[in-house]
Order: sequence, then C-alpha cells, then structure tokens
Amino acid sequence: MSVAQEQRSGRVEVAQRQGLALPVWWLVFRREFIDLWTGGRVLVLLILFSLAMSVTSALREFESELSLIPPVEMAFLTILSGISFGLFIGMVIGADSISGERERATLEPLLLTPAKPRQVVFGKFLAAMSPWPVTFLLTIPYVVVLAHGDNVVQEGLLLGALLGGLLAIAFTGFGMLLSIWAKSNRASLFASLVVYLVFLIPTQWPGSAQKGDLGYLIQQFNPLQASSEFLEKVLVNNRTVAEKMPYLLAAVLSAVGVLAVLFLYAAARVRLDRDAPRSRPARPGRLAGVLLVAGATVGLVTAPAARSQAAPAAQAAPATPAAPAAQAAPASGQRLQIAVDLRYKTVSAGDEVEFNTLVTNAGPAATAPLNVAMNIVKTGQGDPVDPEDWSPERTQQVTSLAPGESSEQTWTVEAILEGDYMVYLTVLPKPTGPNSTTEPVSSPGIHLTVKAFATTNPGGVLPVAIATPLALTLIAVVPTLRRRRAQAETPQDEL
Amino acid sequence: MSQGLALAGRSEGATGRTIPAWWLIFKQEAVEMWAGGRVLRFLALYAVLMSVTAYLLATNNDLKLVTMKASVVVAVTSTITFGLFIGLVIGAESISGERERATLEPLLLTPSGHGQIVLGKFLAALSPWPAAFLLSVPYVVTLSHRDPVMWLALFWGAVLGSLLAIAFVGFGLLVSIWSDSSKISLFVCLLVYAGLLIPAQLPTEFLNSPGGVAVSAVDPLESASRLLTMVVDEGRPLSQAWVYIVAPTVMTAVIIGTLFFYSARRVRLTAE
Repeated sequence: MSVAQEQRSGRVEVAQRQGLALPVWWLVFRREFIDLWTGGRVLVLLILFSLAMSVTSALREFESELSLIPPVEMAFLTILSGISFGLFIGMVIGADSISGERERATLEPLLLTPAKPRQVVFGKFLAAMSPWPVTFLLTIPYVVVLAHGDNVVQEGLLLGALLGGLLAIAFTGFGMLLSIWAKSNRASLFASLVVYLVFLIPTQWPGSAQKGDLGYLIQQFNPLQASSEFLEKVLVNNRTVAEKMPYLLAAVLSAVGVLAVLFLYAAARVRLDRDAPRSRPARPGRLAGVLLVAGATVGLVTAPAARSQAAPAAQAAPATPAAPAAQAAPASGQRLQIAVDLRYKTVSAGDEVEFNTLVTNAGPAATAPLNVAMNIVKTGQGDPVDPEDWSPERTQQVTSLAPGESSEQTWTVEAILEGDYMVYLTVLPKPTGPNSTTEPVSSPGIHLTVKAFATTNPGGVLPVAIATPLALTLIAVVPTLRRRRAQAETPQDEL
Repeated sequence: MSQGLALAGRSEGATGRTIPAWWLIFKQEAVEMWAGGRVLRFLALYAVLMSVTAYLLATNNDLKLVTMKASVVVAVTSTITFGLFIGLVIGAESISGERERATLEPLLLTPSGHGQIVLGKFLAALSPWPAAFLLSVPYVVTLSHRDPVMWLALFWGAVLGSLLAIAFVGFGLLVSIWSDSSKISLFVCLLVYAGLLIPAQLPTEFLNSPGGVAVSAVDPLESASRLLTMVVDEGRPLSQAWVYIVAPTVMTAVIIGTLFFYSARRVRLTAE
C-alpha cells in the first residue's frame, strides 16, 4: 500500500466520522484491483493462460480428428483445463498478497489504519479472485468451438462455473493463508506452487493405478481430481449430480474450510512480522491443525483396513458352487444351453474367482461358430463396472458344436471393488450373413459379494512406506531445532 | 560464500596446494544445504510422496489392476519426477537468491572465474539427486518382489534420472542467472515444470498417435516415462525406444552448453 493509499485511509477515517465512508474492504479491494489490472500483472498471467488453453485445445482438436473423440468429451477436457489453469492465477496472486506487502514494507501503513485486518484480508481476497471470472469467460470460446455444437455446452459451462468458482475460492484462500503465515514472499509462492503440483501429480499415474478403493479415496480427497471425476461422470457418462455428490464435496469442503480458517482464524492474526509473538490461542490452533492433518493421513492409510473389519467372516465362508450345474433354459427355437458351476460366492477385493461354463448343443443340427461373452453388473447404485478391469478375458470362441456336443470354458474374475455384483455369460451364435441374426442365450447369474480390500500391508510395502519418510523427517528436524536453539541463545549471549 | 573463497586463498598460501574455487564453492553450498536442513526437508516431502505412490501401487498390484512391472515403472517414473523437482528448485534459487541477499557481490569480487562459481553451485544443486534415487531403491525393490526386472528399472532410472537431473538443475541455474529475484526464477522454473507435466494428462489415444509420439519425444519427462514403459514393462529392445532418449540427451547438452559456455561468464550483480 502506497503513501497515496495511506492518505486515502486518512480520508476514509474522516469520511467514516461523517458517516459517508465506504467499507474499508471495498477500498482495499478497489485499490488492489486497480494495481493488479493496470499494473499488467494479471494481464501477463492471462496471456499465459490463453497460450496454455490454445496449445492444449489445438492438441485436443488434432487428437479428436485422429481418434474421433466425442465433442462432449472435448468440452469436458477444455472446461477442466480452464479450471486448472485459471485457479493457478488466483493462487499465485493470493500467495503474494500479504507476504508481498510485508516484504515491500507496505504492510505497516495498512495495519496502522483503523481498518480491521479481516477487512484488509477480505478486500485482498476479492481482488485476488477477480481474474477467475475473466479466465472462465476466456474459456467459453474454446469450449464452444471444441464442442462442435453439442448440447452439453450449457450444462458444462454451468457446472464448470460452479466447480471452478469453488476451487478458485479454495486455492486463492489457501494462497492467502500461506501468505499470512510465510516469512517471505518467496516462501509463500513456493509453498503454493508445491501444493498445486502435489495435487497435479496423481494425474501422472496411469489410469489403472488410480482405481481401487484407495485410488478412489485419493481422488475424492484431491479437489482437482475430484472435480475432474465429477465433471466427467456428469457430462460424459450422463450420471446425475446426486450420484456423484461425494466428488463435489471435496470442492465444497475445501472452499468452506479454507474460508473459515482464513477469515475466522488467520485474518485476525495478520502481523507485521511473521515471527511476532502470537496470541495464546495460536498454539492450540496449530496443534489442532497438526492433529487434523495427522488424522486425515491416518484415515487415508487405515481406511481400507477399517472397512475390512467385517471381511474375515465373509472370507471364511466357503464358496458354494452350484450343486448341480445350473443351466439356462434355451429360448424358444434355440437348442443351445449354457451352464455354470458356481451360483454365488463372497470374496474380498483382490481375490480371484474362478468358474467354468459348459455350452451344450441340445439341438439336432450343428451350430454356427459361437462366442461366449462374460458381463459383470453392479446390482445396486454406483459406478458401472468396467469388465476389462475385472477379467483378463471377456470373450471366448467356440467352434461349431455337433448335436449333443459340449464345450467347457474356464473363466477368471478378479474382484476389484467392494460391492454386490452379478456375473452372467451369454452364448452368441454367429449369424449366417448380413441379413440374418441369432438369439443369444444367457447363463444363470453368479452372485458375487465383494468385501473391502483386507490387506493393510499390500506387497509388504507398509514398513518401507512408513519408515522412510519418518526417518527423514526426524533427521530433517534436527538442524531446524539446532538453529532455533541457537537463535534463542543468541540474545542471552549478547547480554 | 566469500568466506569460503577467502579460505581458498589461505589454503593456497599455507600448503602451496591450490584448491579449485569450484570445489570450495561446492563444499560450502553443499554443507549449507544439507546441514541447514533444506535438502532434508525436500527429501522428507519426497519420501512422503513416494510412500503414498508406492502404497497405492502395491494395493492396486494386489487387486490385479496394475502388473508388477507396471508398478515398478510408475515408481521409477515418480522417482524421476519428484527427484528432479528438488534440483530444479535449488538451482533456481542459487544465483538469484545470492543476488537478493546481497551476497553475490563478494562472490563476484573474488579472483575465481564466474564459470567456477556456477560449476560449484551446479554440483551442489545436483547433490540431492543421488540421495533421492537411493531413497527410491527400497520402494522399487519392495514393489518388484525382488524380481530381476528391478535391476533393469533401477539402471534406466539412474541413467534417465541423472541425465534429466543435470538438465533441470542447469535450467534452474540459467533462469536464476537471468532473474533479479528468486521469486521470479522459482516461479518460472515451477511453471515450466508444471508445463512439462501437461502432456501426461492428454488421453492415451492421442499419446499413441504420431502427434502424441512427437509431443512425448520432445517433453523430457514424458520421454523418460515412455522409455521406461517400453523397455522395462513391455520388454522391448532399446532399438525400438531410442527416440525417447534423444530429447533428454539433446536437452541436457544444450542446457549445459548454454550454461557453462555462455551464461556462466555473464553472471552479473544484477540480471539486466
């Protein structure tokens, strides 16, 4: 805040006494807003944003032409890019807002004004949020062009505005929190960018590594990934908002949580010097924060274990194969039968289920070549099953069967996710030509109950996963403690 | 730092043996970074990220979602991605940070050549990489269930990671030389780093197309990932994957050439 601003605060005080004053937060916001926009800083970031959007959009359009990606998916990916790049701008500005003033020695006049620190923080927060609507507006032409007239544009933009707005609040507020607590502008900027990168890193993992209970849990905790999942399922896979609400919650909770910490706790404690003594509640606050992070970490690690408490009983239950081979009655006019040797089974996630099918030609004539296909359906609500994840082999071919002849197939299903599933198989005779068809025959269903993943030490990785960071943290703490002790002793020595 | 160089003078006078300035700068920087706890904090964060990644991979390996070889490849790729970050950040701060703290002037006033100063700082910024790589070994060994494929993964991880670590540290130093404040150099470096992570988010269909192969071949992080997948996971010969080692090699050569033969001589008190 400049001298002019200081004078302005004086005028504000006079105006306040006369009952004419504008709220302080508004004045701070206006001043910051003008500084940000006319100083060219936001414009530089917006140019970078446009460049990133143009490059990724061009690549996607190119990709779409190659692999015929549906317009709805293109619209989703473009909205997602707009959100990811857009909230970066708010976070960077937020990270500079307080620590920058502190570093430039302009925080003191600001804190000396009669304005409450919370109002100052609020004004700065609004100013840091101001680029977000512009980045979103800049995203619209890209979405419209890449959607190729698909109706998803309106819904996508609406959801994008909602999610992006929530994430922009969360990330900008987080940047400001770091800015309040950081010793230097560099530290707040660096910490913000590291957090942003940490949220971005899981997207580097291959898709299969992001599945499973733990993979989905991490997705739900990570606001960027959760928002991506939410948008994709609602826009591309036609799921309802209510169904995918858990993924929306990450964005809502992060925005609410960050705002609460920022305005109810941190804003009132803005200090000229970050090392200035804090009020007493700071320690319990820090302790609560540490406990919250530790709790979340423990929760993350133990969630699969906790949910598997009920599993042992279910695991102990013996698999019950079908007493006599269950058979599907052939449809009228069909002489094919398919039998399975398993009717139901309870397993834990990660277990393999093996069963056999027997295809029999009960008719008087030889059959056409046959395809036996397996399908898995989740019986309750939830994500549809991707059978490719569940089984290495989903179809098997059978050559023509003579009358009375049978063919046996062996199938393996790998239980991936907790839930209640029905597995069934279908025999499809090959049609004789383009102007004919055949009637598929389905097997009886195999009811599969999958309990949560039971292993807390998968592949023996837990000791390494805990011991390595723990040992390093302990080693890293030593120099910090030594430095603090030296700092604490210095004044005494001098005295 | 100037104290270190003063020591150089004393060393020469007392023993008659000349200690190169770059070695003193390297030693001083390395001691400050390691004993000051800065590198250790980075490594602790690195270990946390590696632990989360390894736990997720082991879980999904048990669930048969990821094969053992694929999980080893992801672990090695993560080692490279996270490990390079440390060197990049330290490199980005090395010259601009000194400039900001007004400690660059005494350093430039010493009789040592500017190239030696940059070399010492470069080696110090590179020093966390071997530690990061060594820390990844237990994760890789555990995830591979001691399968011989771990040796191949560790070998290629060491080769590609070292190549990229040199390039990233060099790039960080280049930006640092040209920046007046460490805030700017850090921002630019992290922006470039984030930019290099973008291609991995493009759908697989695109990455397998000729355009995607070109993008992957140019992006050093994506190149390393591709090469590891092809050689370690798919067991293909290097002759089929050589294109993905070209980008890291060329990038490293260009950056090191620019750093030591052009920029290092032009280190000034201010960036302008």
